[in-house]
Amino acid sequence: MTSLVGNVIQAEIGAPERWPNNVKLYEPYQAEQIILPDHANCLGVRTFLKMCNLPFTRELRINAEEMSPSGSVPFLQAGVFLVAEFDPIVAFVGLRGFQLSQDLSETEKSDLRAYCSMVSRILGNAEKYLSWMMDTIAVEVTQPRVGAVHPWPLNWMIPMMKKFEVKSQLKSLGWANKTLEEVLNEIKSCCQALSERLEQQKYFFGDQPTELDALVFGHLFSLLTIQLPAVDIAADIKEFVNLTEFCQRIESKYFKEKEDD
Amino acid sequence: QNCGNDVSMSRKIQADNKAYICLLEEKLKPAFLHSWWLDANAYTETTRPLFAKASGFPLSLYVTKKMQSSASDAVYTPLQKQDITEQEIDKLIYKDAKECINHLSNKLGDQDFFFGDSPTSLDAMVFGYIAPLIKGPLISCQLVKHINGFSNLCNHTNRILSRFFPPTPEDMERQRQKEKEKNEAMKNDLDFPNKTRNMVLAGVFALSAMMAFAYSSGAVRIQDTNNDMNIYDLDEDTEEDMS
Repeated sequence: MTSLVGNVIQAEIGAPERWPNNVKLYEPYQAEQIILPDHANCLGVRTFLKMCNLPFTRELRINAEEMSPSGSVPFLQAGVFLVAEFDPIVAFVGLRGFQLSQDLSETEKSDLRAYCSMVSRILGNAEKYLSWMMDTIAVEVTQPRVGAVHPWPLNWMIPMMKKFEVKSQLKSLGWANKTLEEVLNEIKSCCQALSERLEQQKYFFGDQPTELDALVFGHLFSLLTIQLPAVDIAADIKEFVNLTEFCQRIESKYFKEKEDD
Repeated sequence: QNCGNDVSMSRKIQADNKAYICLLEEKLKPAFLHSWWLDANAYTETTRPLFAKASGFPLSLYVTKKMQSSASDAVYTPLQKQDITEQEIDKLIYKDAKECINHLSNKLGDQDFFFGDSPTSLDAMVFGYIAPLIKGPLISCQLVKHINGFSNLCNHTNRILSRFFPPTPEDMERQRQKEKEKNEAMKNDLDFPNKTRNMVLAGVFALSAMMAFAYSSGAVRIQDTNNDMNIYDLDEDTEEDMS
């Protein structure tokens, strides 16, 4: 269900119940299957839901991606609605009356939208590039992980198809021709912009977290904790001390009960 | 390279600048490309003739097709997923573009430029997207109508146009010439209000003159004479048989 169709349906039905009891968040298996871009998105959504204090259960499925209405993970099942990906989920939750950014001024809301767009565009595409376009990483890490849960011959066919799809997406955005150094510079400049915006505040827009904080945490935590051959992104990000402190703060506040990798 | 306006801005403003440029590219650019290249009406009537005239035959055939396919690639491929048709993608990108315009208008507010009194690269990029839309030949596009509703963005574009692209003396001369021609054409229409009627009458007159000449020279015969001839032929045959 696209966000457009989802919005229309919800406006018609009028959101009778605020938050159903058995909301489920579907994700691929964490230890063996999930790859970097998906991990960042899933973590971002989980953080956002925790920030809103909305109860949900995590369902780990091999075919989460195929079940998803838009082909991407994570996706949320709330009653009769299926909503996939970070932005539509935030919009869906907002329609139900749970918003983290309602106290911001119009200009701040525009800033929030712009920064979310920057993070998902730069960090999201960089993660896709690192996972699929870098041959060492693609062959050693990404493709085995995607194919691990399928029998032969799907375990090499499905990663190949996915790789082709991601490559054509990156090509249309102009990322396919970048070198590794350019991509790392993009990550660094994005982190610099985020660091400037955060300064010494607790969260990006004052003392209360917003969806931008959830999204940034999802991406940065994934980039900081992933072990990739041939690149060391964590070292680049650790130069921005306020960002690492920000990640530690959010992790200790929202994830201290559970162990997350 | 440490030159340009952005470097003199504070680091925070540079960060905001970067974020808004990403927003423009993600939300506004697909709808912009769609309005120019992928909307069938606009493409055949406006964009293709414009580019064809600029590139000359036969290069125009190749260039316009290539630009259209790369625009289609840039707009549809990132969003191509299961269960979504092109019409839905179109609706989605226009919705996103309108929201993006709203955000830009919020950010601009009453200021002269997006970050205070001196322009940044964001102002340049916004100008690059909005100016062709509101000053260009696409008039019936929904994006143009939406932008025209925001006076602060239109003023921003006009301000940049007048400050950084002042009309040169040749441009002013061309403008004056065009207005003179328009006035003369209007005057001609006033002198000959019955131009169409005169043309129709002249056409009818010419046609009747030609028909009269053709009839008189024998090239065209009228139907009645033929029938009379046939009756006479029949009578002769019967007479011969009898005798």
